[in-house]
Amino acid sequence: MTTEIFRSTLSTLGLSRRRLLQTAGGAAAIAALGVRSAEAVLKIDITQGTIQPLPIAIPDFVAGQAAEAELGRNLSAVITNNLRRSGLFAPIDPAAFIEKIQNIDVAPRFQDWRVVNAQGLVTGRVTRQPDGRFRTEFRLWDVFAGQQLTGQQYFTQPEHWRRIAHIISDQIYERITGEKGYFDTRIVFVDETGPKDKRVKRLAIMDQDGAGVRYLTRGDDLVLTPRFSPTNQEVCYMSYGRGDPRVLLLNIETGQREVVGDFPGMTFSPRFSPDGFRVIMSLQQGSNTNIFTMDLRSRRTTRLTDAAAIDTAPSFSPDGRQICFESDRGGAQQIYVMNADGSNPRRVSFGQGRYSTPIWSPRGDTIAFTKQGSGSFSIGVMRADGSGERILTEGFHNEGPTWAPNGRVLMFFRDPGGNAGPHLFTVDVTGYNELKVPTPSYASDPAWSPLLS
Amino acid sequence: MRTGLAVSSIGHAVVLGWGLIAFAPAVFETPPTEAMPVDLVPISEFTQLQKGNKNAPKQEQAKQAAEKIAEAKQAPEKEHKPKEPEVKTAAAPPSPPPPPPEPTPPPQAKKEESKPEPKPAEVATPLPPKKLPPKPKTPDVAKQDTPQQKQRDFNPDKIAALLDRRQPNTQRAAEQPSQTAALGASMGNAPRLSQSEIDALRAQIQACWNPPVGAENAQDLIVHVRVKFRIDGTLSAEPEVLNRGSSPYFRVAVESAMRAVRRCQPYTLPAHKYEIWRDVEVAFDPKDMFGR
Repeated sequence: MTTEIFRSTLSTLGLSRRRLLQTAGGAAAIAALGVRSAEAVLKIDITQGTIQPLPIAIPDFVAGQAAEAELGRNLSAVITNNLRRSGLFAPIDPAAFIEKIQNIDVAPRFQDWRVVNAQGLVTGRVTRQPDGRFRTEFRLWDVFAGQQLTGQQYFTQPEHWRRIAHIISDQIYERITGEKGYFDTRIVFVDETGPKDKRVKRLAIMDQDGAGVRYLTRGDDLVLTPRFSPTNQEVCYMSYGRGDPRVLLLNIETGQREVVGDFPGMTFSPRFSPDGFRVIMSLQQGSNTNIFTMDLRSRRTTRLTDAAAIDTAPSFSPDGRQICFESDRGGAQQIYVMNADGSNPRRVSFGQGRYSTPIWSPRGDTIAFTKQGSGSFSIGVMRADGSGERILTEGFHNEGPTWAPNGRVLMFFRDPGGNAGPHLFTVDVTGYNELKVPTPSYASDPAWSPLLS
Repeated sequence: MRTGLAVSSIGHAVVLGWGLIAFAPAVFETPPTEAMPVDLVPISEFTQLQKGNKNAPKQEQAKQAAEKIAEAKQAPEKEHKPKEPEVKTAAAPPSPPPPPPEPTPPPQAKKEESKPEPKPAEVATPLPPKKLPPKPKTPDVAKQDTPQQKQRDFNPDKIAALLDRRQPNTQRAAEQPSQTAALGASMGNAPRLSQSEIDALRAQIQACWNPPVGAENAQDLIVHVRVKFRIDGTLSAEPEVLNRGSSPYFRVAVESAMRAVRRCQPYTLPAHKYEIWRDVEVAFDPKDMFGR
């Protein structure tokens, strides 16, 4: 009877059994499809975040023996200082720590570190080796993920402990931010002492955090604008010795000095090419100043500009293909860019004011400069085609920007005027985190070395 | 000429005098305007416009199908008494955390099922447990007619056996989209999170996200993360990264996204909508932050 009912219903509906089965089969197929494609996972877009320094905990490095305890503390102190000064990290006060790290080879109690809001944790150990060297190890932990991010060990002589601290800081910086660090670098600058009318200027070199100052010249001659070689431990600078100013090349390690070239007239603002084989500088000939390069191996000079104007402060791009320089051929000082062979000079700065001391960023995308206008001096950056000009700091009297090797931080000097002297300052390329660099006395004309490691 | 002048001046005087009298300034009366009733609606209600009211009178059509099901069901329930407690207990668990293997289209409709649950239970309670097999929607129309027609022609006892097999179908009949309430409709807005709740979740994650600042190209930093939550707002599993990137900054971007998601537990989200936010795909894209 059931089948009778079934068949009669179907006939009333006008469906045949085959039709019904087909529909059922089709429906099942669609049903299977429908379930897979109708997966309604909630989707959210996050397009804004907050920029804030990463809270990181850096407890004292564990010492293998009691004698190394102070070294462990010093290492942590240098790393903490480096990371704090970068503006991207916020080291947590050690008084807030809960867990005391004794053994760095076991995982820390992450819950204790989460409680103090640390997102990163650096643990380290320093042990003296039988041959007198030190072995320094460190581990960087991601507290909320509960994992180690990176870990390294280094062997050095005891007197180089600062460099190890800087190298470890670079590792931490690079692992967290993705950019290369800039802590294992040095700054060469002009140290100024004495009253304003009788300033003694000496070339000096120090670590980027202000430690380990060493004087390279005695102060008999007036020295200006020192610049680092990208490849060797050499510095080229201007010296007002007897007669006209000359460009000199100084080897930092040996202290040997040589004159770059003997040119009639004055030479200014020397810089190295990215490959380290050429020095580019400006030469005065009569009322005209032009840009020349000199090959350090062959001592052959090539003239690059020939406008009837003052062209000075040249700077190579990191790929060595272009040169930016300062010229007043258009009336006032402006920034120009030309090819490395001197062809196609074009003006790139068009704002209100006078632009000077251009320096190309190691990243290759921006040029930093000094801008003078309406009574104030500003340090700014612009893209290589002149667009996107941004002022990072303004005041009286800022000058002479130099880039850190990762293109993120700029150092410049500021002279407040009056009887006081200039000091060095660093600022992040976003304009934030302006900090004073500690120097023994007044300082000017800084130049940042490339990474030492 | 004098007559002409006289006639003209009299004519002008008459017209002007008439004008003065006729167009005397009247008081400007404002007609009374109709007052417009204004209702302040919270945004969640706006988003769920088709949700329908729990206490609204049910539409005839839906009620009809439901009633018929109820009638038919009473026969099997009488016969299979031991099954009843099973049916009832199976109905209870679905309203708080529903069983995981359920595919997601049912939860939408299920939300509607659980809403009428506190009401006349004899209609709603038997329905949820039968949800588990996936339901094809298209043959509904065809199959819906069949049980109804049969119920008109035959008495309930005879079709009891047939209805047993069709129980999945009969529930689908109850889910047919009605004209007023979006009970069980696949396009209904009601079961979603309201815009303000989505924004609340977004704000919670945003507050914890510190994107890497170094990359020059914002495209390199886009990270898609799949996050699974428990009902209390904590993560139920490790977040999963869904895309790949070649830039050296990609790894850093992934880590900052993971840190953001892990750091801000527990998240506060409406517990009664747990099904919707249980599984979330978050796309981290710092394109709005690249002012440089």
